[in-house]
Amino acid sequence: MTTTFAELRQDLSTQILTIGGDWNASPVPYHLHGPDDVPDAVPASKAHLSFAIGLDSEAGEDRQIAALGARTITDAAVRFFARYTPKDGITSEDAALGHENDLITAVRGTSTDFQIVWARSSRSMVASGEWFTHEVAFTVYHRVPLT
Amino acid sequence: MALNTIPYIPADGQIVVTDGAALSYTIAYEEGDFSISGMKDGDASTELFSDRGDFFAARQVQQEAVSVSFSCMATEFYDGTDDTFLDAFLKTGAWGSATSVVGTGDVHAVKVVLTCDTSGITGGSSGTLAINHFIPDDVSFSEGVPGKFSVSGRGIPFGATAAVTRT
Repeated sequence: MTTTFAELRQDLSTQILTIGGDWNASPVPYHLHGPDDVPDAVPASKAHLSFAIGLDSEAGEDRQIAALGARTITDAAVRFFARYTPKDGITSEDAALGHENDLITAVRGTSTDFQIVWARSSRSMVASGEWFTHEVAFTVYHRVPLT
Repeated sequence: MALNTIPYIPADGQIVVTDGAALSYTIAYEEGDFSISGMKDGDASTELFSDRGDFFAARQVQQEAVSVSFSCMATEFYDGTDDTFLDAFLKTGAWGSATSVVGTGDVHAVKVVLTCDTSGITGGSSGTLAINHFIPDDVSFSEGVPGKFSVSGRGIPFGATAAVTRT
């Protein structure tokens, strides 16, 4: 089974949205979605748990037989914002961390077309200090179609 | 015909394993690490003779095997009906009734053919390297990303057929 990069991004997005609640897909691509500022395209009412997915891929070693597709290792990074509440800062931090765990759990169950493992997480805040910025990275092993 | 000018790379290759009857298994999900060493003229070892330090004669003495190894990504340990890497070299599962290509004795030997095809490129063509009687000596599995099956063994000349034929 092969998976295109677009299918991979869409599968991840769909799976994250199954968490429900305030999770929503950003209208802008990953590279415009933070990390230092909430983009203008994302209103404050939608910024909480707004996410975007970035993909970086590398060919694995194999013969790249056309019928089988090319073995591919993709680093999939999910960046999302979580609300910081100054009057209850630590509680909001824990809540953001909890959302991160929800995301990992959801994404790990993404698809039967490829294998995915959680790789790392990093956390920061936007410049204004209003939002946490979490970036959760996954490693995806899949095959890219060659025909 | 002019020599090919296109170097072989892993994407050009494919390995097919066959028994002495009708079984045939095309190995999938390879990294392309096929290796063969020890090919000799006439498949024979060479003995050098010297007279007080000066070589004065060389003779082919006895047949010797070539060494062959390759691997693929591990996707299935055993299958009763479809071909798998381990079954093909351990004579189990779908290969449980395989016919050895070495007609005498009880050794499970198969034919291994590496085809490298660059015919789609100007200056290239398709070539094959056939190990006519491959005896698996070490069949292995190791976990990792990805998990891997590997096999190494000897290709021997047998009867009137050389250890290796090439086209």
